[in-house]
Amino acid sequence: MTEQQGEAYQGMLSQAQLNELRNLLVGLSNEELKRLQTLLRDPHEFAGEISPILPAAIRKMVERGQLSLNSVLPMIEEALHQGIQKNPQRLADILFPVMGPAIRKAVSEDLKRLIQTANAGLEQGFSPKRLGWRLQALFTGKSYTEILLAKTYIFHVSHVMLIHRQTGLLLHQEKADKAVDLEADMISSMLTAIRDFVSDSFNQMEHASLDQIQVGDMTILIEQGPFAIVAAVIKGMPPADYRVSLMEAIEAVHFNHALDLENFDGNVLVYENTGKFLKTCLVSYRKQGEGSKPWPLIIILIIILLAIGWFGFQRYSLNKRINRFTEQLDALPGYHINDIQRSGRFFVIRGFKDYEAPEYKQLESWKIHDTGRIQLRLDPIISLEPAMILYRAEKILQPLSSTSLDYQNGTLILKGTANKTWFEENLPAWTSIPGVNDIDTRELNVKSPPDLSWIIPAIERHQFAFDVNITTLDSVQQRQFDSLVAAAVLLTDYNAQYGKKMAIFVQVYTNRYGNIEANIRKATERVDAFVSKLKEAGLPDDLLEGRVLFTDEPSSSRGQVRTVTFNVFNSAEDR
Amino acid sequence: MIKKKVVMLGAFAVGKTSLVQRFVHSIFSDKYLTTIGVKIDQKQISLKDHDVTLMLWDLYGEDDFMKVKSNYLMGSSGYFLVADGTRSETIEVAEKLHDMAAVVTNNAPFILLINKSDLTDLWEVSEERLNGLRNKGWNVIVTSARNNQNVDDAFYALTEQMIGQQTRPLS
Ligand SMILES: Nc1nc2c(ncn2[C@@H]2O[C@H](COP(=O)(O)OP(=O)(O)OP(=O)(O)O)[C@@H](O)[C@H]2O)c(=O)[nH]1
Ligand SMILES: [Mg+2]
Repeated sequence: MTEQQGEAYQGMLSQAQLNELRNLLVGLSNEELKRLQTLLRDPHEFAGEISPILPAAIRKMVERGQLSLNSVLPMIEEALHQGIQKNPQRLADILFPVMGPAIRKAVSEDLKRLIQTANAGLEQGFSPKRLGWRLQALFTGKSYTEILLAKTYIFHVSHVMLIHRQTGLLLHQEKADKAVDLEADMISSMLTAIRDFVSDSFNQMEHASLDQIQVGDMTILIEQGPFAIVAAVIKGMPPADYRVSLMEAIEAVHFNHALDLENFDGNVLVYENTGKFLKTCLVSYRKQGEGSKPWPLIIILIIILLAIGWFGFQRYSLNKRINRFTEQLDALPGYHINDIQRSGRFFVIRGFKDYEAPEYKQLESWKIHDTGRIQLRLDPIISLEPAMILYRAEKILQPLSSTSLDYQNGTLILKGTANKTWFEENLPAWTSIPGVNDIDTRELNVKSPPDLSWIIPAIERHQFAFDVNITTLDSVQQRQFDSLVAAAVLLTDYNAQYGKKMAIFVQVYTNRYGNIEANIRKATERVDAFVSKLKEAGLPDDLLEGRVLFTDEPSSSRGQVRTVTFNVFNSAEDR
Repeated sequence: MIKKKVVMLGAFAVGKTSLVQRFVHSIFSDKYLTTIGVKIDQKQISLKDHDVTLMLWDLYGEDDFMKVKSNYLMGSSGYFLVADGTRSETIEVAEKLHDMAAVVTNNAPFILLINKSDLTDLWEVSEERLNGLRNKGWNVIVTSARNNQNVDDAFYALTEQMIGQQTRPLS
């Protein structure tokens, strides 16, 4: 069907309807006509007749744009306004479950503000207990004030009653586990009577309400709904926000039992299942007893302190080790440490290092177990610090142990003794040592090197012949002995200068004739006696070594048996 | 479980408290302790089909009945008008109280009790007077809290009326 056809069809239909209507009008009975006439004449009748179709008609008009909502709204508003003025309670009853949450929100906002003010007043206080609470706040994520309030308030809700507002009849009650049985029926009637009495005696306002009754340290908090009230029997001082729980409960009851409450006829069985709402109001806060300590908190505190201590100690000792290492490193020749920085886990040590400086890994402070945390950033340099110049000089010149080096103002000072060979061959290399401009050898005693070619014969030419059983020296022998000792001293000088280990055999010949054992023993005694003599004269131990030699002849060309002779050898090589 | 609120109305010293004490605790005392405000008692009774808990609101009696405020009557399912048979003016007080109570309770069931029937020598209320009241459709019972005459019957009768009125519109 096209649009044009559609319009035509609609036009036809309304035309048909008009015809139908005309037929009907013509065919009206007399009574019907009369009724219509009275209808038209009597505005009341007419209004009654058309009122059922008016809403639909208005809706249609609005849809077609023949009537704008803006023009009707003021009328509706006026009607609502008058309706509410006539019976405000009705509206309040309807709105109660809807408005409850909004009111509650406003109350809790107020509470929050109260808590903030309390905060300002309370934050200053300090004691170990409060420190504990602060920790608790830290761990539970609650505000400190919240905990403080909870700890300060002691209260216990023993009974919660749901009471029909008008009759004062108990609809349902819940009690705390160990609470005594109250005559809840009586109490709820009495509360209502008291309420009536109060409004009777003091207040003409119809909706004046009784919110709280104080009996000794017992408080009865009452929260009113349009049809029912909830009353909580409380020991002690409830926190301000407890009323919010009561409001929630009474709202929930109204929401779930609106009809039951409105048409209440004394049947209370249906309120059994309001128990779950009332139970949420059975709360209690117990104050921390003075004697009982918050052990979990104390333990946590101790653990935290231990952890802090441990970490602190670790840090301290690590820092100490790193500092010691840095100090030792700085003291090493050729090293200059500028700063230490912590970067994450690492200690970054920055500075300079002479390219020839000694290896730092030899430092015992380096051999700490956390060297992995040290990062050395040392730029290579040529250091002119005296220690490094001396270190380099030692390395290049290789001085003898008898020579000592010193450095002052660009001059290398040599002291002690040195031999000629070193003096001529090694010392000239000083020119290649950076920072050394001059050398001072005035206190260096340069000796010509002792020559084995004359020292050895000077030792070996001596021999001492003794009679049987005699080991003492006669005067001639004594002079020979002195000359032997002098020659031997030259050998020690030689050893010292060249770092050699030349030594002297002190030897006695014996033969295999007669009693061999007796011969050996006698020869050994003689050698030992002579070695002792030489040591007494001041020769070092390792220079002398005694030995007994055999000769096959009763007397040899090298000397008689019982004669002491000397033989120079290199103890570092042959033996 | 059904609970009902019942109010005792009447002039002072007619025996409202005594009737409740007799019914609830089966006791009677000659001492007169006037009630201040309201005294509440409860009693559970068993009818054929129902267990009913009665919450009995025993109000103070006032000479000037206008001072009895309607608040206490609100929500009551029935009430007793109590008069003292030795003081006929207490019946007038009861009648005036009824005018108010009928409105507040929306025509709840009630019974007129003419109390102290044991004091026959001092009795002032004639049979004609009682019949006149009965002709108005009132339920009138002569009682004695002291001798326990018609006390239980009166309470049971009112309870049955209340239950009846409750179930009638529902069925
Ligand atoms: N002989 C007799 N005395 C009664 C009876 N009932 C009550 N009394 C006495 O009447 C006096 C008043 O009784 P209450 O029960 O206190 O009267 P009430 O109506 O509660 O009085 P208020 O509380 O002041 O309004 C008391 O001394 C009672 O002992 C009864 O049935 N017979
Ligand atoms: Mg009394």
